[in-house]
Amino acid sequence: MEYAFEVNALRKEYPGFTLRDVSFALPRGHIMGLIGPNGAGKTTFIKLMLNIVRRTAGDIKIFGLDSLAHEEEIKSRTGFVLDETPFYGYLKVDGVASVIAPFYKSWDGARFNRLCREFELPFRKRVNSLSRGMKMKLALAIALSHGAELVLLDEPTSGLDPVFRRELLERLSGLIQDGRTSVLFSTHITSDLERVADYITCLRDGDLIFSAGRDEVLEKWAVVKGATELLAGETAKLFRSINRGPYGFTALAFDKEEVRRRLAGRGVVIERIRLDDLVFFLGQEGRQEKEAARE
Amino acid sequence: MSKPAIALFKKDLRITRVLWAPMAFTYGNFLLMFRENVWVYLATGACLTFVAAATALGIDDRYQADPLFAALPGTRRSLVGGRFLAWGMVTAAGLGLFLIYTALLQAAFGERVPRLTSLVSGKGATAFLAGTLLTGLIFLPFNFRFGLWRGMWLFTAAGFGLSIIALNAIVRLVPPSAYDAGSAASLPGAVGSTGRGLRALAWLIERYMGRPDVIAASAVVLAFLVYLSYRLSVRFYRNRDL
Repeated sequence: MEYAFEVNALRKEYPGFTLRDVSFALPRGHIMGLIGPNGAGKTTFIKLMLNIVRRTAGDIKIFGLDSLAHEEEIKSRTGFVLDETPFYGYLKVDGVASVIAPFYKSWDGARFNRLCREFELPFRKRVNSLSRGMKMKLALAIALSHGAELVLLDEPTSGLDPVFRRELLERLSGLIQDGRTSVLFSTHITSDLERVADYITCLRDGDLIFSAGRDEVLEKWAVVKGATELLAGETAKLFRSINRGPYGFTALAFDKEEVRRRLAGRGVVIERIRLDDLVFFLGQEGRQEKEAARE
Repeated sequence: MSKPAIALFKKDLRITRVLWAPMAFTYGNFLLMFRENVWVYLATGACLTFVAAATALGIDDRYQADPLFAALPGTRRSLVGGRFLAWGMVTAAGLGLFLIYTALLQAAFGERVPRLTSLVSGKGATAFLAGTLLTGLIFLPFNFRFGLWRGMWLFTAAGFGLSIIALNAIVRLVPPSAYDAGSAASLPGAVGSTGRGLRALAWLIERYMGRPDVIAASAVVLAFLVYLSYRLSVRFYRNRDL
């Protein structure tokens, strides 16, 4: 299988935070969603992919090439949107493009103009006077104007209205139709991922929780509700992040079929999981683990 | 120079061009104000050229644009190359403006500013370039290691300390009979020796600057410093998280 990128034992150490030995890959021509609670390491991961921050250890291969040894070639085939949009506020929209275009050999000015028109970006308006959503649209227009084969987007849908968000997701789905373009995007709006992502990768506190196909994740994981007595003994090991209440428990199950097999006929409710639930439960589990470690 | 370095250089010109006219105007005004003392005049030209060269860095810092350019096609090495190119071009433009303004002031004020005439020469250009390039070449590695403002503070502190050490060393190298120590002669301790060092430095510049062998030696030293400063800057910037 040909991969858009492969990361192997990727590690980044900061004071107070470590992205720990993360390994996963995105096959070409697919969309991967990067999810996780705040501080999970999503932005750090995207910055590592772009060499904005330096890895402590591990490998990143993009298009089969080492991301440091072939930095210029890889970046010329990669589009990105960063979590902040650091454009010069006093420049106009076309001025920003004139600053960035010379970096790309394959910059397509006509495509940029067309995207700006489609995104209803006013060419002659200064960046300072654009809303956050409009700045994000500008960043997207730039990311998509040089025929990128890999598009890395850090929270691209934040600040966008629902109509444009839907349009953007359709555009991303359209991008990968050529079979060579791939997209990695991080988001807190997990419903976006359920709509378009082929793969989901979840990080928490710098650890990779899973990286798998979307359907596999939605099939395998589940929210389970039942009587608290059922948690006695080995059964609790079927669950992660257990909430115990006066009327029973709610927990995250990482192997729905196993739960179904072991607890059949014992009054449990197994609900289809949504990515939102997954982030919530995994975030909660992380907090519980931290509290337990403190105690 | 690689394409990304040229692109960064063009970007620096593009983002600062709105300031060129006001900066050129301010430059002329400051030189006009300090025309009476040739040393202050020279230092003013050098300082303003330094500020002009650092303007693009200041704008990038204001908009936190470093991560953006680090993510665009290119390497840290090419980004450093672009910065050095831009710095060199601004210094050259600063020298051009300095010589033009000096010639204009000399024409306008004639005998009231007799010593400015000596600056429109190889001697003046060498003194100006040596000062501005030396300052820039020392500052840039600080900038790439620590970022603009932290780098500027550390550079200023280090520059101040090193200047005092250098001036005190010059006092020991130049015989006291060679120059007029002026009021610095009566000052006590380190303050006095630093003041005498300034006088001795002025004497050295007056005496040797502009001589072909000194120009050639300065060019060799500056070329080595460009190499050293560039290598250090690349090493620092390559390892920096943005």
